[in-house]
Amino acid sequence: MSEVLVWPVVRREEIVRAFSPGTAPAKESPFRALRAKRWATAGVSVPRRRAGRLAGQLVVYSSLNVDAARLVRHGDTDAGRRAAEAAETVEAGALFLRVCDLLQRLTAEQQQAAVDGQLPAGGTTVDLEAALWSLAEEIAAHRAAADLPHPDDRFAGHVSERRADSVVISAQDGTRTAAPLWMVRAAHRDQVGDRVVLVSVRLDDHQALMQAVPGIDIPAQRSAEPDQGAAFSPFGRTERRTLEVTPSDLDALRGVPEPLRVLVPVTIDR
Amino acid sequence: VSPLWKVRAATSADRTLLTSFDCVGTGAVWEREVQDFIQRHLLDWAFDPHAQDGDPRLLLVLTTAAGELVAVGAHERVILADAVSGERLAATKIEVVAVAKAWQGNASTPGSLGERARGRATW
Repeated sequence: MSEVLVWPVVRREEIVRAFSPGTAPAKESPFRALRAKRWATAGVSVPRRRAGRLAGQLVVYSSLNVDAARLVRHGDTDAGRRAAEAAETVEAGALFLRVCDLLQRLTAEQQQAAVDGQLPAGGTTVDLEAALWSLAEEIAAHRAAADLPHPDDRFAGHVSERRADSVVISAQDGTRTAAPLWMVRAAHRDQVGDRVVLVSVRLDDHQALMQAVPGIDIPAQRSAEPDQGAAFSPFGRTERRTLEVTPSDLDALRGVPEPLRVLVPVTIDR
Repeated sequence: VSPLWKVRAATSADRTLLTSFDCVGTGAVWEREVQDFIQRHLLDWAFDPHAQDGDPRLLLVLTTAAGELVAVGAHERVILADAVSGERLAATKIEVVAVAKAWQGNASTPGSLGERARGRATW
């Protein structure tokens, strides 16, 4: 089956958010503290363009920096250092540079949206999407090689229901959880089918913070294991998923059904 | 005034008619998937001897005058289930509904479908 991974690139704000939950993500000092201890990388600068002219730069980081920040926050500085070193390796690699090169071709607004998990619509960024898939896989391999634990609870899945003020997120094992609509919207993952990772940050025994992180779904043909999702067809009788409904669907469908009627126009002779 | 079209159940003799059914409007992947299913698999779906418990129905809408295939619809009885709780519900499931490309976006003209029917159909 395919795997939902976290979006492989981030901005500095995401690293600060992971290291110091609840503080303003634009704050400089938490990131400086991480850099001073080599628990975060310098990132890779991507020139930004507006109306064809250079307009500053966007610094892009590997999502391993977020792992590093979380590990350090939990006191596991050794693992945090390993995560940062892995991030440095990834950011020096050809794949990360390829992603940055492809980002350069976008407008400043598109660049920021892409790093935040939202690719421009219209299929114009097929190469970037493919590079991000590969990068997400590479990062997952580095995580495994560095034996990095997940210090916070995570729930990865896809949005399976959208309600007025919340969404239901379903994992591949069938478990489900709900999240506020505004939260997944901020991660650009508020549509049915979107991949999202919820991270629960335990503050103490009585308090926790939840964060929605954009997910990326590795397509079936790229997975080592054959993916049932790739072969999904709504037609025929072999696909069990066409007969699966949600509890709210059941509520809507429950009751005595109306007989199915087909209205046929008839001629009335005078 | 004769009605513009008629509805009848499909028979195994309709294979050729279904094979030539064209419902791809914009060329989107899902439109081609629907057309492919109708052209190649729908008749077998309707007459599958192992599926008769679900009472599958395949209905064709044809023009009265020329017998042109206007639309296709199919449904059957199924048991839906909540994947988590396992709760089950008997339902009628629409397998497919499609309108031929030549009829997509068309409205019946007054007098043909019948003003006396006081209906207006838009495909």
